[in-house]
Amino acid sequence: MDFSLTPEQRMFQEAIARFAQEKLETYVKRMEETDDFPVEVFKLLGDLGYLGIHFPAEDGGSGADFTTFCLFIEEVSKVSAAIGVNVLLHTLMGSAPVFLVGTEEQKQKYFVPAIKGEKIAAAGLTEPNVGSSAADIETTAKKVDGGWLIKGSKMFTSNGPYCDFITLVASTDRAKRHKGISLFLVESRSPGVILGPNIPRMGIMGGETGSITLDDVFVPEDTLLGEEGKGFYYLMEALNATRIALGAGAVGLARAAFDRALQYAKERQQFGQPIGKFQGVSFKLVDMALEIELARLMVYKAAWLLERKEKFAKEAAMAKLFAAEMATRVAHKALQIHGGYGYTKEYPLERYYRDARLFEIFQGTSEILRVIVSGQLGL
Amino acid sequence: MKVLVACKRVPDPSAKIKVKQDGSSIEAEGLKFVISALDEVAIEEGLRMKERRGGEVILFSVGNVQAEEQLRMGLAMGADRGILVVYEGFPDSDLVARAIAAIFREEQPDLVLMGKVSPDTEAGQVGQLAAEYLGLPQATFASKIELDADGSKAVVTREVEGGHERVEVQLPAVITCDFRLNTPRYASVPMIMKARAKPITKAPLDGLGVEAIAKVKLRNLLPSPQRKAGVRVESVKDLLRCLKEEAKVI
Repeated sequence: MDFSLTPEQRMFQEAIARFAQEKLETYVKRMEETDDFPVEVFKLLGDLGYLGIHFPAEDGGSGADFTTFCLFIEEVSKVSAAIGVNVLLHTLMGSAPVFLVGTEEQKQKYFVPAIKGEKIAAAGLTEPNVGSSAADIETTAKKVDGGWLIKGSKMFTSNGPYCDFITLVASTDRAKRHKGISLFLVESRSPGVILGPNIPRMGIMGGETGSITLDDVFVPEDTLLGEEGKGFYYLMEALNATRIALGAGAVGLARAAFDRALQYAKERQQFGQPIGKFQGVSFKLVDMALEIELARLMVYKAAWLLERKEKFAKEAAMAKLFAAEMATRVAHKALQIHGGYGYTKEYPLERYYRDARLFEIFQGTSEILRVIVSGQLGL
Repeated sequence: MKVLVACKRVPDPSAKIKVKQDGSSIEAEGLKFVISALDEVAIEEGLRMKERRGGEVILFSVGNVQAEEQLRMGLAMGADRGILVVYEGFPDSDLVARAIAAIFREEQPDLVLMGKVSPDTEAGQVGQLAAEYLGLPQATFASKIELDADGSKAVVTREVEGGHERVEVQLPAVITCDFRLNTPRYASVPMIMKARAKPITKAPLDGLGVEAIAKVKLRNLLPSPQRKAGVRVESVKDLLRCLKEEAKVI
């Protein structure tokens, strides 16, 4: 048993934290105000090798490990959960399937530019009528001469409004349900593809998400990713890894809220002493520290299992479930400790509080994750 | 172009510094350490010279063994190798300058670069002392360095009161760097991966033939005095009287 990070991982953590605080922090205010994603961030991160951290160097990646990718998402999300979330979906849901099952041509055309930050990927999974029940995907791909004809629509597609390509989930045989699901690589500028505008949301401001309409879009043969009918399995593999990294994002967000609350509790004086001296406040901070520690252990344990190529679906679901709910509780308490100031836009607490809620919803709601874990427990 | 660059380990300037109870040093426990910001500028300048002309960037540090962390960070920016002169005590500027002179004689670089001052002791003397020990030309507070085509001399722009001064130095020389010289790069992931395998040589002082005697001895450190609480005055008249008689500012 070894809980320590390797010297490289520690160096990464330091380098990423610094980059996030110095560089990414400068985008936060404008993202909150305009709800626009600063797309140049992709190039910035790509140039430094952050988008391809855990992919092998011979495939254009940086050759580090998945734990380092999670450290990256944690530190970025500590500064901006919106950047953390959209970048992780670009890498793990949009690009990773191409690396996993793509042909050499597909890798060169999509994966390599994606991890360099030159092309932005969106993962087209959720639909207006299909969320958790992925086997019921209504978007269809019909075999036609020389390729496929895709028809349907996608909803809440992160990076959707400005993406370059879509790793699209479509049914090639609806009767076979999840065994009829396939993945396609669709250029966002193909005729018939309509990228909807950014959908106004409660939080994750700047982390743009939109609808995508596919109106009889013709795509050639070589856009099929992996084997026909295997899309569901590729998707599950990508989702499991994504959940671990989302857990890391929730931990980063919670740490940001906790750091603020701890500092405030030491400085804010009431009744002649710092409020942190009152147990009503100090016990809250203890519970926050405790839950962050727990979530962090779960996230990095799941990452460790993934790296060892052991089964990790249950641990990934548990880590995401706990970390997401933990982030909401921690953000809630951190705001409460700040009193009236916490409720104002002068402080970032209300942002953390709004942002945390998303983690309980996307890439498996807390309820669906409980269903998954209960299945794993044989219930 | 072979460039020797300083890479000093200093406490993170944004961290809260606590002085040990006995005043012997600062509380290092739990404190974050970084590369001195102006040394980062010097490293960046060295890397740009190497990118343009080829050659080698060698980092050095004088201090305790933990300084290896900062050398690794400098290597992750792109430097080729590091030299760590291990010294556990408080090395004064003179001792560091003598260590640099010894490294210089061994490595024979074309140029020595370092920050004009480090944020911990703010002595700002190492570059000048090292140049003197080596009998080399020096240019301090560089905001621009222009090398000539054959690398035999450099024109250095210095920021001085009310303007700029341009000086020409024959190489090899010692140049100390100012903030406006450049913006240091961030270490990329592949470079951090490579940094682990780059060599760092540990050189004890006596191995370099440097006498381990510091001319300046650190007697003790004192925390900044706590600001006293203010007092409320009843009227403007009172305020004026206090400013005149107690604060003696008007």
